[in-house]
Amino acid sequence: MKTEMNKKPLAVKIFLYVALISLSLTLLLPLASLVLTSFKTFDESVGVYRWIPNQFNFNNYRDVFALEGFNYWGYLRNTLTIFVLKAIGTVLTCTLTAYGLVRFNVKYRNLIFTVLLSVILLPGELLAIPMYQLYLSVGWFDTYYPLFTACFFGTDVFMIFMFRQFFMSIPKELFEAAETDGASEFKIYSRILLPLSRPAIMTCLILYFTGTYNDLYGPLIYISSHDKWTMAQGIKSIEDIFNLGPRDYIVPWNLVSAATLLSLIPVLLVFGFAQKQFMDSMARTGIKG
Amino acid sequence: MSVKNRKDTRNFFAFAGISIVGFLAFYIYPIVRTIYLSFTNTSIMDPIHSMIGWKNFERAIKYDDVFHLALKNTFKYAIFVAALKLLLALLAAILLNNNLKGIGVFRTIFFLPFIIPTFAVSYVFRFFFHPANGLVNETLGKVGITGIGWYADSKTAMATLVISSLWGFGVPMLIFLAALQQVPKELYEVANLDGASRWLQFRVITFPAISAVFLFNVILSTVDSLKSFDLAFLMGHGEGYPANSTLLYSVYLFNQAFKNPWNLGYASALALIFFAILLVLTGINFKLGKLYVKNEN
Repeated sequence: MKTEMNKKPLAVKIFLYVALISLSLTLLLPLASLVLTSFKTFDESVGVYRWIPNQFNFNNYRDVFALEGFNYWGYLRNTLTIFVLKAIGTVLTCTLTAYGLVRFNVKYRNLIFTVLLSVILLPGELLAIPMYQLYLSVGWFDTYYPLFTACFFGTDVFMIFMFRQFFMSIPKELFEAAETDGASEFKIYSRILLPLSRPAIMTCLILYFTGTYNDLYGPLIYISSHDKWTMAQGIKSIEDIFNLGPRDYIVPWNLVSAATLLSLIPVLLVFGFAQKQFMDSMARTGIKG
Repeated sequence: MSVKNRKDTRNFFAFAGISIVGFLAFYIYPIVRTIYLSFTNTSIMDPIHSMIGWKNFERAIKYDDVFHLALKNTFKYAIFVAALKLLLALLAAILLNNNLKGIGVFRTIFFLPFIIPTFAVSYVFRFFFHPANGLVNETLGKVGITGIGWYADSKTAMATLVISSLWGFGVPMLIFLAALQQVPKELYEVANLDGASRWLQFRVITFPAISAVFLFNVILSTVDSLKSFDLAFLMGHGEGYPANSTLLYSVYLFNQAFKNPWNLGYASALALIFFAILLVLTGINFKLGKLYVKNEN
């Protein structure tokens, strides 16, 4: 099984390809069904299922943008705003903390790190309720503050962990040489460490982008005005615009699938441009959002 | 304390201090506060609240039928999703761990469903399984099988949710794949010469070599599926539709905490019970792991 490519018997090769292709088709089937439906007319999409639309047209894509109560660009802008704020906060503060942990030898340093890391185990629900009460009491309901404030306090311990791992792989001598040259610690951090950390920062950005894009819980709790909605909220609620009948019965699948596919574009773009780094980042963390 | 030490300490707090403050404000404070709230009858609607002792816990465990139902649903969901997802991920990883032409394309395809945001996944499968308009029932009809209600029928809704959740197995798959690629190829060559069957090779060579990673994936999948919220919330319209059949614990907790009448006290007790369950199950996974993990160090 693990021998060189050309040594594999033909029968084994054929078996493997059959298995790989069948699994691929099974996985792509639901998606293909949605893609094809986005080109159908309303009547076709709510009728008996047919694979191929009578006529391929892009009307649904045009209509989605014209749909009252659905604001694609607004949702995208809002989601990106939250992403940028969260990412700036986390990259800034978590690199600072990780640098502190790697560079300075203080008593109980490892203990402090272990205690910080232990909160990874906590389920979000355990923390959400008091924070909800607190944010409401300071008047932050229907603002983005509850979604990103924690990021500016270096609270993403997973990112601290990741940056720390990365910083430890940088030769110590580099910092020591700069120190001998009289550079301040902050200068070492900002002029030497950060530029070297581009790959780690990229990983953080990719994870934050998909995490923010996916996040439904936070916006559901805190964001109510339609003009502040994120993509997750906008797509989730698109079926409510039509309200054509009993629940789950009549949904205008032609428009819903067009809108859903449009919402995938930003994620697919990021995935397309940074596929290897994307998969590496995900594999390293095992989290989606 | 030497000058160097003092300087190090000062610098350490200058750099890492922000996280220590954040830790106290965003972890310690809410945990303590959640514990406090769980002993009160706090709700947003009713600003005056009082300490009621263990009543919230008692209410959940003794009287709340929906709590029991949500817990049962969650266990059912988590066991199937975790087990089937790991199986799929391992199978896919074994397939991908072959030096074949175009294998990278298959890796991308297998991973693709994972990057699709959950709010889109929900529509993908609600259309796929739609009782009247969907591909699945139509195909079943063609071969003479009467379609079923899938997510619209309380008898099959949970199974539909489980199937839909399996789509994104990309992360455990990549973790398995990385582990498989570490197994020395020479071992298989020797086994091939000895005429060992593939199943025997898997049992004797592959599994022991990846057992630590297997445990990691088991723990991750168990916790992830127990905490699952998004897809169940979306496919169940936020209420475990139909008839509470897909009501997961996290959704029930969400509804108690963040919907009218915002029972923050009761929801805090539910959150603590949930945390205790997660801890116990993770502990059991570790214990079970001792039975099969081969430590190579």
